Amino acid sequence: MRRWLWALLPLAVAGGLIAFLALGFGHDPRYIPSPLIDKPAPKFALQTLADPARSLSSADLHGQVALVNVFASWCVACTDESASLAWLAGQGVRIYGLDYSDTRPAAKAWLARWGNPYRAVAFDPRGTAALDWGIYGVPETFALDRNGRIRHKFTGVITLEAAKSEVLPLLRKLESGS
Amino acid sequence: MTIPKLGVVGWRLGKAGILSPLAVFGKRGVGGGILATIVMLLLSAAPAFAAPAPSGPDVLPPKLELRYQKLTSELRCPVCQNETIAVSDSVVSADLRRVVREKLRAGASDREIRDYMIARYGLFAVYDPPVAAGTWALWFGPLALLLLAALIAAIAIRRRRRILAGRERAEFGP
Repeated sequence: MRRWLWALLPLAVAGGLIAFLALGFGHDPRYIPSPLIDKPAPKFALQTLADPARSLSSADLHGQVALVNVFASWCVACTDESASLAWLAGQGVRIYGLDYSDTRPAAKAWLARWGNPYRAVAFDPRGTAALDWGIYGVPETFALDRNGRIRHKFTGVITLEAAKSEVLPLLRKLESGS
Repeated sequence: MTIPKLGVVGWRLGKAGILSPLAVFGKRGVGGGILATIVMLLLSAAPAFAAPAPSGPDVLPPKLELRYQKLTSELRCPVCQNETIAVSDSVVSADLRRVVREKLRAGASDREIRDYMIARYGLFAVYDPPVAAGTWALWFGPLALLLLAALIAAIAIRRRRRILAGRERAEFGP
């Protein structure tokens, strides 16, 4: 009896290792968890894209549930989002844009071409404000609650299905004060 | 060495048969000289592909430059994930490199710069995360597994020896 117990041991160790690896393979390594969840949104004060004389700051985001969408005119994938963001804006969602590492003319042309779902766009040509949000690619979208805290980060393009099934329900939940 | 000189050296080496692995092309003597010249010219072209030394606002004083090189090779590019921000081509890495340069100029310490990255990207951002409760598995896991394997091996070997010794005694007497 003891002999075949011993034979089982390497199997158990191998099984444990496989379980451990399976856990790891279950995660998509491209999605790093954001350390900013449940923390106040990073402070920023930037010129708006439309008008350098006006500014958009993190304080302006306070008070209402909002989405902050980091995009750029040089980001090809961002065009895939324009329909979803337009739909969300049509549902009354307050979306603010953060134009990352871009130039004014290119960004304005991009918005003219692909549509502008944003209440206002902060212009971040040096990219330091967007880095404060821990972005590691574009597009990325952050859901903020009424108190200006980041409650969720959507990495990558938000598809129309995701907008309907994930983003809007989350925002409604945040609005109802949870 | 100037390019013409390198070419001549290559020529001479080839003629002398010194770059004779190239003789596999059947070209000792003059032919080898031609091939060797081409090789030497290609080798001499290598420095031309190196990036020109940065000038202007990108240049840091030597002490800061050293720290810059060290820091950027210890910080992980969050986009590419398997590259440091020193070598990554991504826009985010370029912006992060610039931030590191500006912080060094402003007098930030290495630790402050690492903390900047960790605050925004988590411990994933550094290649040597601090040894804390959350990272014990990362730092000690492989060693623990190795020790476990060694322990099992030791026990198995001792058992084997005992079995063999038992069998010997049974056959040949004590």
